[in-house]
Formats: sequence, C-alpha cells, structure tokens
Amino acid sequence: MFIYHVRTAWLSLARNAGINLLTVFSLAVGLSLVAITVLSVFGLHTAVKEWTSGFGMVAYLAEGLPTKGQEALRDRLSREPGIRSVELVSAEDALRELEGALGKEMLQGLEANPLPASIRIFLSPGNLDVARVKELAGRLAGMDGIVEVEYGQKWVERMAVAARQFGLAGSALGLSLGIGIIFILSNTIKILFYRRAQEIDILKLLGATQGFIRAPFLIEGVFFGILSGGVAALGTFLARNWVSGKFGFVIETPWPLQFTEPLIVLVGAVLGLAGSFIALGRIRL
Amino acid sequence: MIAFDTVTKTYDGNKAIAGVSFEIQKGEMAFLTGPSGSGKTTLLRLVYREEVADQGRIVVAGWDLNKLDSTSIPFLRRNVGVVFQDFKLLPDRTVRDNVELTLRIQGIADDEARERVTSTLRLVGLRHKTDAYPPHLSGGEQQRVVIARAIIGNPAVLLADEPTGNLDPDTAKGIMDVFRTVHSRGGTILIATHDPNLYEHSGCRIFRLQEGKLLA
Repeated sequence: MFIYHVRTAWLSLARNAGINLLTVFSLAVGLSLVAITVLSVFGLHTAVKEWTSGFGMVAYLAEGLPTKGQEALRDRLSREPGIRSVELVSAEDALRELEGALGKEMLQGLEANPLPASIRIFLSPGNLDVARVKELAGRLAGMDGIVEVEYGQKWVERMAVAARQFGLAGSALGLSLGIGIIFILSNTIKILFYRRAQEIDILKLLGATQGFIRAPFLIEGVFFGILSGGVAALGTFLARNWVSGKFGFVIETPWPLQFTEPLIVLVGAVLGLAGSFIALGRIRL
Repeated sequence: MIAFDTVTKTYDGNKAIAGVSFEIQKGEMAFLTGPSGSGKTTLLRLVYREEVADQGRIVVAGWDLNKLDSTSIPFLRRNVGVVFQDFKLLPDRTVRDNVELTLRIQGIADDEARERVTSTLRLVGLRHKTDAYPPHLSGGEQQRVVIARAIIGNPAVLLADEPTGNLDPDTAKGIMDVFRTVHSRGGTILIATHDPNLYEHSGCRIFRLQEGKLLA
C-alpha cells in the first residue's frame, strides 16, 4: 500500500513537472538561505573563538613582589586550565625590550625603571571563547600579586556582542524563512489537492478512507522537501567549501560538519511533511 | 440486500423521493425506471450514501444507513459497486489502473490485484484494452471499464445508473449481457433506466418511480 502511495505521489509530481520544478527551486532558495544563515552564525562564533584563542594576556605584577613570589605566581598560572604557556618578564627585561623598541636615547632621562614585572600568558588554541577569556582575566586580576590584567577587553566584548546579535538576527531570519517554506509548501499541496478534486471524488465513491486519500499528498510534501533540500544541500556544500578555501578555517557546528547536507535534506523533508499536514488539516473531505 | 422503509428525500422543499418502500433480495436483479427527474438517480445515491435520507430507514448489505457514521461510509461503499452514468474514469490512467483502483483502496496485494484485473477485464471483453487510456476508448468500452471497476471488488450490491444511456442498441445489448453474467454468478443488481428495451421481457422486477413516489 505504501509503495502504491509513493508511486501515486511521484506520478503526480511528474505529471506537472514544470510547475513543480519551479516550486522545488523556490523552496531550495529558501532552504539554502536558512542553511547559509545558520552556518554564518556558527562561522562567526568560530571566527571569534579562533581569534580569542590566539589571544595573549599580560598580567602586571605588584611592585616589590620578590622574584620567588613572581616565579610562584608564574608556576601557578601555568597550571590554570585554558592557559597554554606563560612567560615571566622581569621589570629589567621589560625595560630592555622597550629600549630595543624605542632606542636607548629615548629612555636616557629615566632615573628609575618605571615598568612593572609581568607575566605574558598564551591561551590554549581552540579552547577558549569570549566569555571564558573574560572570566579568566577576572580571576587572574583577583590573585594576590597581580595588579592588572590586559587583554584587549573592548575588542573581545564587541566581538561577543556582534556574535550574539548576529545569532539572534540569524535565528529570527531562519525562523521566518522556515515559516515561509511551510507556507509555500502548504499552498502547493492545497493547489495539487484541488487540481485532483475529480480524482478524489472518484476515490471517495469507490470507498477510499481519508487516510488513503491524504497519504499521497503527505508523501508529495515530503518529496518536495527532499528535492528542494537536495538542491539546497548542493548549494550549501559548494558555498561552505568556498568559504573554507577563501578564509582558511572550518566552521565549527554542534553536529559533524559533513552531516550538514544530509541535515538540510532532512529538514526539507520535515518541513514538507509539516506543510502537507497543515494543508490537509484545513481541507474537508 | 437493499431495503427502503418509507424513505423521503427533499431538496429545497421539493420531495425527490417521497415515502418510498421496497426490498431487493440477495442475488436478485431489478430495474428502477421512470421518466427523467422522477428520482432514480437520487434513490441510487441514497443507497451508496452520497445522499442522506430526511426520513425513513435504509438498510444496505446489513448496514443501517441511519446509524452510519462518516468514518464507516468508505466501508459501506466497498460493498456497493456503482456504474455511473458519466463513467467517472480517470482519463490519465490506463484501463488497468482505473479498474485496479477499487482493489488498491481495499488494500489487495499486487499479485492478486493483477490477476483479478486480468480476469475481470476478460469478463467484460476488454482484455485487449488493458493499457489503453479512457479517452481513446468508445463509449461502450468506457462503460465496460466502469462495470469492471464496479464488480472487481465483489460488492454485495451492484448499482447502475442509466448504463446504456448514450450507447447504440448493439453496444447496449452487450452491456446488458455483462450484467446478466454478473447476475448469473449471484450478484445483486439494481439498474436505473428509462429505456424499456432493457427491462421488458427481462423477467426481473421493475420499480417504477414517478415524481419521487413508487408506483404500485
């Protein structure tokens, strides 16, 4: 029986191939936009994460902290999660570096070394996001012997806000497009239903149940979803490969990235089924 | 097999069927006759529950139509084969697909369906037209396809609404031969017609309708 319904649905699609292809491409554009929006949101998060993970921090140490205290603090920081390596820079080393950068002549007037000792902190790659960088900086700043932590706070916060806002805008856009896709599908199924009104009347007179009459339309909705999902998946695959090649990073997603395209087809099928359900729910047999 | 007890059906205050009572026994072939507009088609539509009686009681193949809920209607209709006056064939499906539809609806398996379609088309003399499409068939051939579709599910009752209405006398005779064959196999048949050539000398009971009333 199921195979019969599948065949009926497929023949119905094939009978009006031209107009149905247009519908498939319209839906594919919508699905592609949803997929690209979702991937862009995750892409931006990945970019922020990559950027912050290559990020350094500098913890300035209290004036007069003895060398042993400085070394103990260095050792303690090196054991902190999320920190890849640390480097203790004494006040003298800092002055030497400054002389190297500016030239000795520029610093000739200095009577005493104004620079504090510091610890340079290198964060673990791929292990930190903006929130954790902020949290780590706050924790380090509260440690005895550390007077200040610098990490380009404004930039990190701006990126975090931008990523959050983009995420919200992306979710709203994705939701609107999803609703739009269901709406188009639902109307398409309704049109197909009314186009086959004569056939449905005959089926009813021959003793077909509502389930028998509705089944091919549900399957047609799924077909629309799968076909448009397939086209959208192809587009998305090409787009994300282009992005990887162009920007040199792989988008991190909550699912294995290679499942993105099958997921788009699955989402298409689910939206197709939902559209059919809505269409058939409003039609009285 | 079909029992009407003082059945009335009204459209906009006009009685299409007025207090009609009759019974048709299992295995009986009967004719329903009367001029155009006398209520023949309405009566048939009441039998397969396309219309609902305003008053009275109808029992078809053991189904009390007064107590029938909408979900049971499809199962009643599987027991009532109908030969429609306007054929109601699907023009974009082959003869096989049209006839097979009845079996598909009943969930009959592919192999059995194929065999039954072949034997039924042979019975109505259309074995050679299996893969033809209805628009390419003559009126008589289309009527045979409709009969095949109506009888293939082995319904308890077969109804025919003006089955020879648009056919020439020879083709009409051929169609009636098919009905006689079905009847000889034990089928219960009610044929609505205004053509006296069909029922005269048939030896079957004749119900005459006039303005919705059954004449004695």
